[in-house]
Amino acid sequence: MEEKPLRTGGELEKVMDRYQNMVYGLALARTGSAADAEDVFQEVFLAYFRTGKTFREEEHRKAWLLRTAVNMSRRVTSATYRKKVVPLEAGENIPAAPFRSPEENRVWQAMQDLPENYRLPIYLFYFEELSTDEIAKALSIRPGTARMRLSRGRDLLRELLKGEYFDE
Amino acid sequence: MNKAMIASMREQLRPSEAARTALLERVGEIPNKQEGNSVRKYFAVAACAALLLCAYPAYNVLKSQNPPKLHSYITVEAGDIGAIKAYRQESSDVGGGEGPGEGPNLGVLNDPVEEETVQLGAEAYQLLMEHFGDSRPDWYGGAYLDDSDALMVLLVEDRNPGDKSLELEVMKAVGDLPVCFASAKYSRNELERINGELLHVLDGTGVFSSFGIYDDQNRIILDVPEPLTEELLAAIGELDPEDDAILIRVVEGVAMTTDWVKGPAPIESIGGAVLPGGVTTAEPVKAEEPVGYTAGPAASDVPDEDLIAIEPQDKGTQVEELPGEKTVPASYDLLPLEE
Repeated sequence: MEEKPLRTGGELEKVMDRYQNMVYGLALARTGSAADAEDVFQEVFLAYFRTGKTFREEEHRKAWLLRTAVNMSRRVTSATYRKKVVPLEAGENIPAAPFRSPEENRVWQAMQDLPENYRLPIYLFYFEELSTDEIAKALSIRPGTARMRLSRGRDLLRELLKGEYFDE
Repeated sequence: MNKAMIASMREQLRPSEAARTALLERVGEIPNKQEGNSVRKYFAVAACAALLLCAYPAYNVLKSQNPPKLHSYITVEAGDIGAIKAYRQESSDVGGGEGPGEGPNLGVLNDPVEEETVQLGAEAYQLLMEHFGDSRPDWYGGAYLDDSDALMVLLVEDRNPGDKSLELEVMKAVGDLPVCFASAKYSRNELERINGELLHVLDGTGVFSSFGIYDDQNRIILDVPEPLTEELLAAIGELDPEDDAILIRVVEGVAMTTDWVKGPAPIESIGGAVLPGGVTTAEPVKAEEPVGYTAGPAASDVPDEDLIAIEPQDKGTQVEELPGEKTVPASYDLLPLEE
């Protein structure tokens, strides 16, 4: 059944409840800054609220939010945006250590050390459990490229973590 | 990777409550704008719908109220003899020169040689009319005598150019007599129909007029002393939507005489005889005496030697049916002719 875009506060909150972690996590993985990630989170859902788009399926809504989160993260990290919104004394990004356990923070930090091309596919694969096709669509790359980046990113991550935390 | 760890990390990846609250506040500011946009959108849609609903009836109303197309007319200065003559020469095919044989062919034949050629044309015309019998075909556009006094037969032009059957039919009808052909837009029957309707349009309007069919021009010429009202022009415009079957001439500077009749005389007033070259429809009205007009022979006390000027005063009743007669409406006789 066709779901209409959520406009009212209550309905928006439902969508936010469902996808806020995805959007925020992606933004945090992309920007490496909790403040930037929160900016992205707000901008994505504001854009969602304003656009009034109609999604035939929930997957489409999810894909739209992912794509918008990627674009907003890129925009937030652009030099132009930073010049506009970041005070000079604020300095560069504050390293994000958002997790309770040191192991989790270590894994997250290892991910942050990956090149961006590998970081986002890895995040979407492990944290959002997207297929390579979905990752390709969200990042506007070909599925083969997504698979290649996933493979190399995983190798790099395993190397950074010295093989720890990998079940397979 | 360790799925439990990933699941735990995912749970912790959430924006702060402050960010969420700020977002909801920002969203809360938007509905007013959205509502405003919606109102504008609905207003625009309603306006478009109203426009669509009203446009068609309004179009119909405007269409019905649209002023009808007025028929055109030209103005001819009666005082300017030269202009009238030139106009007459241009618009009729009867010549207009000063030399013998070049004057208007008004039915008076002084030159024996010319008379002979005219007789040939007249005979050809009579033979053609006999061939037609009581009704003329729709391809027949009229007939008149051309400059060489040969019978010129007009054929309605909506025929196949390669079809010469009509020419052959006419040539067969007139025998060995000379005959020429020209194309025309309107059939003689059509012109007579329009002429009859024009009669009804002008009847009872109190307009002094003179009109008739001019075969050589394949149209009707309506002469009036004063510009017609818009109502009449509109009515005539309906009769002649293409504005070329009727030529309205406002002859200015001419006084009312008996030859300008109040309302046209019906065609039947000349006994139904259709003269090649046009008919005169101006039937003299005894009750209306000439008013201050002395230039024409009808109003002159001095006998005029110029029979050409007098001849059309035959009142349109006993004019001999000569093909070359190209009878000019009686109104012309009111115009100051050359001294």
